[in-house]
Amino acid sequence: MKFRIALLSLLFIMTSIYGQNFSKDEVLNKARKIDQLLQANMAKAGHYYKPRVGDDILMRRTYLDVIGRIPTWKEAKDFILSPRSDKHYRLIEKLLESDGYTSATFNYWADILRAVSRVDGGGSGEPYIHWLKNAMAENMPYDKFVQKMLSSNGSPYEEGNGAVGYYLRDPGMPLDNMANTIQVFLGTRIGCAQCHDHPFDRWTQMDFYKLAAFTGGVNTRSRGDKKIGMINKLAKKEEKNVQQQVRRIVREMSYGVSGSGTGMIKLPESYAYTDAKPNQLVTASVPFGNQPRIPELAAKNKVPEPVTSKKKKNNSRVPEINSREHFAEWVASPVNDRFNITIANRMWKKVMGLGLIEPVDDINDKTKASNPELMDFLVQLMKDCRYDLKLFQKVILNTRAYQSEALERALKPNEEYFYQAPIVSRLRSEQIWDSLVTLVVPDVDGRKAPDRSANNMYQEFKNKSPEEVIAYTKKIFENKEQAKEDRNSYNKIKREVDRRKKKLSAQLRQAKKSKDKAQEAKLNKEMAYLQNILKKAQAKLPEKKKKSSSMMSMDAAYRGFSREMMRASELPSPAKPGHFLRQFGQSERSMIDDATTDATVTQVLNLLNGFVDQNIVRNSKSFVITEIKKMSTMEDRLNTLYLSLYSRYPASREKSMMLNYIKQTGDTDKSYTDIIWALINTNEFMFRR
Amino acid sequence: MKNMFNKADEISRRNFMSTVAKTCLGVSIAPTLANAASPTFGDMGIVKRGAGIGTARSVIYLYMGGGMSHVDTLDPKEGNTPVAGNLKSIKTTADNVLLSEFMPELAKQMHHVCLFRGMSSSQGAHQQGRYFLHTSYAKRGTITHPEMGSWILKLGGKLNPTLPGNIRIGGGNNSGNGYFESWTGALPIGNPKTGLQHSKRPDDVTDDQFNGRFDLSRELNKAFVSRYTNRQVQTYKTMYDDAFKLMESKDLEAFDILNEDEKAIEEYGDNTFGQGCLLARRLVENNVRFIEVSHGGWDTHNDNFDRVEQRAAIMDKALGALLKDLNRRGLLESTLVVLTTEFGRTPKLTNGGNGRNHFPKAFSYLMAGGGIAGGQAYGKTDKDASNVIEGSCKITDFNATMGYALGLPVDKIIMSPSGRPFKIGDKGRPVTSIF
Repeated sequence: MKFRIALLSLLFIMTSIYGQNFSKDEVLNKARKIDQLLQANMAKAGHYYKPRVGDDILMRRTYLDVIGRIPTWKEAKDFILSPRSDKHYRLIEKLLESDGYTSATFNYWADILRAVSRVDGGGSGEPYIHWLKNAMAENMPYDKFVQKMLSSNGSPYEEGNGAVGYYLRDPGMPLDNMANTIQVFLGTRIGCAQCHDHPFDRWTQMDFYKLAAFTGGVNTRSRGDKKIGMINKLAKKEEKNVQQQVRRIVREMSYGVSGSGTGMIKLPESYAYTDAKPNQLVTASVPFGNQPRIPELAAKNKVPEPVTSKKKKNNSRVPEINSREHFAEWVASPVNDRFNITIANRMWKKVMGLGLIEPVDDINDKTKASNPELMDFLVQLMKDCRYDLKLFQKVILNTRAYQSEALERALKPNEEYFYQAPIVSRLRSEQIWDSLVTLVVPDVDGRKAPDRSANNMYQEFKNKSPEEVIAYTKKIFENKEQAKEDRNSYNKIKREVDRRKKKLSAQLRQAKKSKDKAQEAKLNKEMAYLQNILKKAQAKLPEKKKKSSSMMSMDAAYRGFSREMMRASELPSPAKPGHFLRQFGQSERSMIDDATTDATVTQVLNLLNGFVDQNIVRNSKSFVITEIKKMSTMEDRLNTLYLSLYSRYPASREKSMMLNYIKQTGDTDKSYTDIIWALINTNEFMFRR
Repeated sequence: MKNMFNKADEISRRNFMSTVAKTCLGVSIAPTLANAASPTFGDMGIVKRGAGIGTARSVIYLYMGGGMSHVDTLDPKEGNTPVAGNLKSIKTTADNVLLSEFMPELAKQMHHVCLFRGMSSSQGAHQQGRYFLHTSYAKRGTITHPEMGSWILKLGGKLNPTLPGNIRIGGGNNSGNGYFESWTGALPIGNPKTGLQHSKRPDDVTDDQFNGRFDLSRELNKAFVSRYTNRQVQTYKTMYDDAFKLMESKDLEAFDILNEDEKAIEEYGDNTFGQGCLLARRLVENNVRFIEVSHGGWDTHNDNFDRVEQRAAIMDKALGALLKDLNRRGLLESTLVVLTTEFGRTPKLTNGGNGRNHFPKAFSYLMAGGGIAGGQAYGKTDKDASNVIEGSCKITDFNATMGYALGLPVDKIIMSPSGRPFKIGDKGRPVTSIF
C-alpha cells in the first residue's frame, strides 16, 4: 500500500514536471474537435476539406514540418509499404521524439529569438544556442522556457546557464530587449512607445518605461567587480596594444547578466508628456493583466517624491528586489491571455502554415482571430498540455485538416482562408539544406558539431590572480601580432597565385581544346609550381588551433565528408554571407523572424552548378550514390532515387521516360547522377505541398 | 625550385614571404604607407555647377546598417563635449563644410558630395527603420512593399539586357520586389570577393550533358508547374530561364573583382564593404541600374568611439576610393552614390559616457554624382545635433530625390494587387535645389 502511494505520488511528480500526457484516444478526440470547429466555419462559406492526400505526400509533409528534412529512401519506403492503419499517428510520435525534431525546432526558435553565434557588440552566443538546443531536446515546457530566459543571471559560460543569452542578445539595449520580449512572447508591438506614445495602439511611453523598470539596474557586464577593477588598473601600465587585449579578456570575464532588477527606471531626458518630468524615476508596473505583487515595490511606490538629483543617484544605489523574476512570472503565466494566445497561434501556424491571427506578433485589443471558437479551443488546449509544445503539435498534426491535398492556387489578397487545404510553399532555407545533406551523409540527424559553448578564456582566468592575467595576456598578444602579419602576407601571395591560376586554367582549357599536349604539360607544370608555392607559404603560417579534434576522430561513418555537411542547426548561426543557407533566405537573425523564401537567381545557379555537383555527383561516397550501388536492377535504382528525392515511386510515364534516359546514356554512374541533378532542379523538390 | 624552398626554411617566415612574393610572383608585399602624406587639396579644382536636372543612370546605394552616428561622422560638433566627446573636426575640399576626423578620405572628395544634415525618420527600431528607408512606407502586416531598387527598375527599366538590374552586395537575402514582378528583385551577392558564384557550369560537365540534364528537369517539372499556379512556383520557372540567360552572358566578367589589379583592391580596402564598393563600380561600368552595398555594425550603444572609428575607417576609405575612381573614369555624372542608415544616434553621450542610443529625430545622409552639385551641406542641426533647424528632409523626400536624379516620374502611381496606390517616395517631394 505504502509502495503504491509512493508510486502514485511519483507519477504525479512526473506529470507535473514533464507536463501533461494524453492517451492516443484523447489526442484523436481533441484533433477531431479542432476539425469540427474548422468545418463549422467552412460550411458557412460553402467549403469542405479537399480530399485526403496520398500517403507519400502526407509523409513527406510530416517529415518536413516535424523534423525539417525529407525522409531517406528507406524511411519513405517503410511508410508507404506499411499496412498499418495508424501509421501516420505512429510516424508523428516517432518524429517528435527524434533528434531531427530538436534540430528543426532549434531553427524555428533561432529565427524568432535571433540566436547568433556571435553577438554584435557583445560576446559569444554559443552558450545560449547550446541551451536552446537542450531545451528543445528535453521538451522543456514553454512557460518554464520563457521564465528561464527572462530571469536568469550570471555568466553564460557557467554550465547550464546559457539562458542568460536571451538578455545578452541586446547588449546595452535594455529598452529594445524589453520591446522584443513583449513582441515575441506576448505578441504585442510596444516598441514605438520607446520614443513616443504608440500612434495606433493604446500604449503610452509611460507604459513602456514602467515595463522597462522591471529590468532596471540590470547590466550585461558585471560591474564593480574588485578583481576586474584590479586587472584594469594593472593594465594601465602596459602598452596601448596590450591594454586593448586586456580589455578583450575583461570583456569575456565580465560577460553576463548582473542584477535581479530594481523595479525602477529613469524616464528619458526627452520625455515630453505632462504626466511626469524628464529624468524622473518611475516604478515598475504592467499595462495589462494582473499586476505582479512585489512587496518591496509597493514600499517604493509610497516614496512621495522620486529621487531625481544626479548627486543622490550616484551615492545611493537603488536596491535590487528581484523585479525581473516577478516580471518573468507575469509574462509566462496561464492567466496571461496574450501569452497563451501568442504561443497557441504560433504553434498553429508552425504546423498549418498560417496563423488564426496574422501577423502572429502584432495583436491588439481589436484583433479578432479568423476562427475565434478555434482560437479559444487552442488556448485551452495549450493550458491542458501544460505548455508541452510537442504534445500540442501532436494534436494538430493528427487533425484531418493537416491531411488534405494542397491548394493548387495561391490565396488572393484578403481572401478568407478556412484551412480547407494546406498552402503550397517553398521549403525554408534550412529545410532545403538539410534535405540535400540527407542525400550526402548517412545518419544525417546523428551528425553533431562539437560543443562550442565552453569558453577557455573564462575557465582559464576564472581562478587566476590579476597579475597572472596580465602576464598571460602579454604573451598571447605577442603571438597574435606575429600571426596577423603572417596572415596578411599570406593573403597577398594567395591572391596573386589565384590570379595566375585563373589565367593558367583559361590557357589550359585552350590547350586542351587544340590538343596541344606539349603546351598542356607545360601549363600543368606551372600550375603545380604555383600550387607548391601556396602550400609552402601556408606551411609557414602558424598552425590554426585544431578546433575539433573530437570531431575528426568521430564516427567512421562520417569520414570523408566535408565538415560542412551537417544539418543547419549544427553550423554557425547565421551561416556566412554567400553560404547556401543564406542564398536561400536564412535569416540573418538580427531581426525577429525575418527569414525569406523569395526566389533569386543565385539560388538557381547554386543548384545548377554548385552543391549537387560538388557534393553528390563528384563525391563517390555520397549517401544516395552508395545506396543505389547496392541495388541490382535498373528499376530498383530508379525507384531508390525517386524515394530519396521525391519520397514517392515514379509514375508510369516518368518511369518509362527515365528508364529510357538510363539506357540511352549507357546505365553508368553518370546516368544516375544526371537524374539526381534533374530531380533536384525541379519545383517538386523545392516545395512542400 | 626545391632548393630554393629548402633554403627558405632557414630564413625567417617574414623574409620567406616577401622572397616568395618577389622572386616567384614579382609583386611586393611591403605594407602600403597609409597616412603617410597629409591631405593636400591644392590640385583638386572645385567645380560648382548651377541648378539642373539629375543625370544619373545608375545608383550605388550604400546602406549603413544599425544606425550610423551622425555626430561622429557627417555632422561633427567639435568642442561640444557632452555631445562630441573629444572628437575633432577636419577641413574638406568644400569651403565651410567640416567632417569628423574619422572621415579623412571623404574629406578629399567633399567637392563631389552633398550632405543631407536635416534627415529625420518616424521609425526608431531597426527592423521598421530599415524597411521604411528602403521602401518609403511603414512596415505593415498585410503587405510587403517593393524596395528602392525594384522601384527604379519598375519605373526606369534595365540597362543591360543580360545582367540583372538590381544587385545587393553583402546584406540580406530577400529580393525586395514586394508586389512587383520578380525581375525587379535583387540578386544577392554574399561575398564580393567570390562574386557571382556558380555562374559557370563545372569544368567536367559538357555542354551536351548539361543540356541533357536541363531538358530532363524541364520535362519533369511540367506536371508540378501546371498543377500549382501559385506565384512562387511560377517564379522559380522564370528564375531558371534568367539563370540560363545569365550563364551565357558575355558580361559575366563584371562580377569578378579578381580582374582588378592589386592597387585597386588596396585602395578600396581589403574588406567586404570595400570590395563591395569596388564590385559596384564594375557593375556600373556594365550598366547595372541599382547596386546596394551594406556595411553593418553601427549599433553603438556601447563602446561608441572605438566601434564607430572601426566602422568609419572602412566606410571612409571605400567611399573615398569609390568617388575618386568613378570620377577618374568619367562615371560620376551618370552614377548617383547615396549613403543611408536607419536613424542617427543620441547626440548626448549615454550609457556611461561612451554609448549612443537610437535617434530618429535628426541624422545625416549623403548623395554624390548623378548631377547633384557637390561641395555643399543641405540642412542643418542645432549645436547639440538633436534638432533639425534648416533644410529638413524626410526619408520619403530623400527617396523621391533619388528618383528625380534618375529622371524618373516620381509622381507616377502604381497600384498594388490589393488595389492600393503607391509612389516611389510616397508623399515625399524631391529636393531639387541641390542639382
